[in-house]
Amino acid sequence: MSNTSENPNPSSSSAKITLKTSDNELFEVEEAVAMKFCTVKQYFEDEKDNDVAARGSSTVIPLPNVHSAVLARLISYCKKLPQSNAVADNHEEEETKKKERKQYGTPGDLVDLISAANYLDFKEGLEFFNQALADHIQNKSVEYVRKFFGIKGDFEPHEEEKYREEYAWAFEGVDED
Amino acid sequence: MLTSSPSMMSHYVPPELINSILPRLPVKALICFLCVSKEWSALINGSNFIKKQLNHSIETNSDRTLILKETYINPPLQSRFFFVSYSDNDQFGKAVQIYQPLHNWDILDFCHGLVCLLFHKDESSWTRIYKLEPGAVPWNIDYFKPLLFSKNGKKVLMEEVNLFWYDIEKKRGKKVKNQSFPKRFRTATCMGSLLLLDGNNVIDLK
Repeated sequence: MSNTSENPNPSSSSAKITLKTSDNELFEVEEAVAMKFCTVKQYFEDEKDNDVAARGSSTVIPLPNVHSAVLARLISYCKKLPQSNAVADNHEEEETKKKERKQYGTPGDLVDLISAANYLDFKEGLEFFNQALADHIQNKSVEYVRKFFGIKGDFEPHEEEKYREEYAWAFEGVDED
Repeated sequence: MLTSSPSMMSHYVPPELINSILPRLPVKALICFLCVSKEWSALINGSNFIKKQLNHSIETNSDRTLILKETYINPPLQSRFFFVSYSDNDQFGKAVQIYQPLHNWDILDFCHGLVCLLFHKDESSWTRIYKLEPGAVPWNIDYFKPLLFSKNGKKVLMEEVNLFWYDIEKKRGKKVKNQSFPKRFRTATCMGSLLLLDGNNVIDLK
């Protein structure tokens, strides 16, 4: 019996995958991180099927819809992900989470992060940034929300006024900005 | 592009993402946002959305609300309803009177953010509240108590004298038949836990 000359499969934990963003920046990330992005995972698996051996880091996966600044934040969030996705079981934890959700930039940044997480099919990220944006708008005025999402109010002024009178209690204590 | 723009800047968010952000909001905010636009109003009033929002609140134990119904010893006055939010740090908010929507309704009972109302004459509805359609069940409505949701969230288990499933979509009730139940009973729902209210374990290791 001849010796197996070489092991073509080095320890998979150190495997790196290169991602290329819309502004042509290259990101070399650990496989475990990249596999959180289902879009990347799918691409990688398809690629593997086509190729005899996994080409590992020599494969560059293009992400034409993601800007480098957004990808960098998604990766940094990904690395902080806890092993278990346990639900906060006391309010202290919930408070910490709320603070944590505020750390990922301006509300506008959140929209970019949500779109990218959606494109990458990155579930935990989408969940997290959706909640962060919900936290942000929950106490905002109707005017703010319209401006933020670029929506034009299309109710007749008298309809809207009547509605606001009827549900005045819901409009109490809303932020001014 | 990441932007550190002033809040004046608008951001396009596709409808499917709006659809997964809004159910995370508390009812109070959603009532305000009903007048953002006709599209938003249609979305928030949709039965899928209402279910999604309720499920989210239950799963995360958030947006907890008490509804108080004023009672009088001398009946002629119409009793008022109040809405009291109950924050994440277990503080009670200010009681705000709820006007129109509950005007002609009586609260039968509620659990898990699910309110069961007895219909009088007003046709208006309110996000998060399920109303029983007149004629939903062939027998007389006196007292219903909502107990829990079916796994798929499409039915609510209610207690009357017996138990029955109320189908939210079909707006019909169906009796639960189980030979092993006692003839007459009262029901309470609970979450499985091995801890008693006095802090002792149910299972005594001694």
